[in-house]
Amino acid sequence: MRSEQEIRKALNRYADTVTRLCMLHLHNKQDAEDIFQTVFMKYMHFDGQFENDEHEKAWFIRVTINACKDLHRSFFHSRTVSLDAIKDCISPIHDDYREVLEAVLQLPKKYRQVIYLHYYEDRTVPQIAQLLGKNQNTIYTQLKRAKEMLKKKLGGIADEENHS
Amino acid sequence: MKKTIHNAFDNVHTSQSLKDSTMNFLAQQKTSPVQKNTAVLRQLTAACLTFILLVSGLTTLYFIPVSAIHIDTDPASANLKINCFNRVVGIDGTTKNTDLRHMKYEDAVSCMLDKNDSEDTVITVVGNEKMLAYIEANVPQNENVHCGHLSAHAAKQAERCGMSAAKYELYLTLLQNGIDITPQEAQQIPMKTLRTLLNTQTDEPIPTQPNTTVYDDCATDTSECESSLHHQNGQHHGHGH
Repeated sequence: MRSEQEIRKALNRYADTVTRLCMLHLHNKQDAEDIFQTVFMKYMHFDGQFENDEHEKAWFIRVTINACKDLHRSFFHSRTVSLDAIKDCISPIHDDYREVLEAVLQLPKKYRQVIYLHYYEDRTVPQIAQLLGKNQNTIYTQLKRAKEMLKKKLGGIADEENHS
Repeated sequence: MKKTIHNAFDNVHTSQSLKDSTMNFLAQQKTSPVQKNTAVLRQLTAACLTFILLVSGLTTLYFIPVSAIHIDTDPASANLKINCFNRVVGIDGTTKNTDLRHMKYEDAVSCMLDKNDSEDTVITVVGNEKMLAYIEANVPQNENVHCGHLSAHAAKQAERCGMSAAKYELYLTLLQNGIDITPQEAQQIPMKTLRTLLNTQTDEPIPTQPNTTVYDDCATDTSECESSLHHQNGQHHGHGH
């Protein structure tokens, strides 16, 4: 079992990663809190050694996604998410980014996570495929479709960035 | 678009309250011995339950009689109830031998015969023909000991007729040999007299070579005892002349 110091360190380092993944998958504050606590409890009981920080971060991503998937197996969970639903779990979001995040959250779940992993975590397609246990071609297709859908939703914002 | 999305996600941070509540939750999990040992406790409980079920199942199985050996020695008689492990689990009858429980049936029968000074002993095995074969091969070879076999159905019928298994077997043999006798009469007459009656009627001694008579009888009352004989294989047998 890991020490309190180790847990505090991991909490400072990976809390945001876990929260962002929870935001992509979950629909209410209670679920997000449950998953957040579950992930860090698993970390507390995990006796294995991590090769490096990257390995440790990949462990947190994988464990969080799996925990969210387990929760999603419950059929009464709705399929869409919103920022308001988990606003108590995250710090206030600047209005400039709210529209972008809402657009990402409106995507189907399988597109949300590839967008996050690719654009924010800088994961390559093979790395995402390995993390999610899926075929690389599937991830390529999902990423391509997700980008197209986001361009439609964020037309103006995306264009501004391209021009700049 | 990459920069926009990256910046948007970068703006998402965990609230301090969630971090604090998680630290409290984990500290509680760590210090609570009940929580800490829940998994071990569950496994231990499951193992104990399995063990209890196994032991109670085996104990129940041990005490269920699956066959019986009736030993009739005028005037006493004993009914040894044998379980599937070939051990004595119950004794009925008028014998004073009560220390036979949990003995192997071979030892119990030997013990009974060693203490027996009766002139006429009948051993009837109910249900298990292997036991009969063993007893036939091992009991003292003399004219006073007779062995027989009854099916479970016939044994129940004997009980309904109020006779010991050995007497019922002999009664059926008498009927088979044309001797007109009612169950009530057979009940009153001693075994030795019945055997003498059989020997007189047939004018020859009971065969010396063991063979098996199986009475598969399931009549419902004593009046049906006489008519419900179903002779399947061979005739009554015994040791001696």
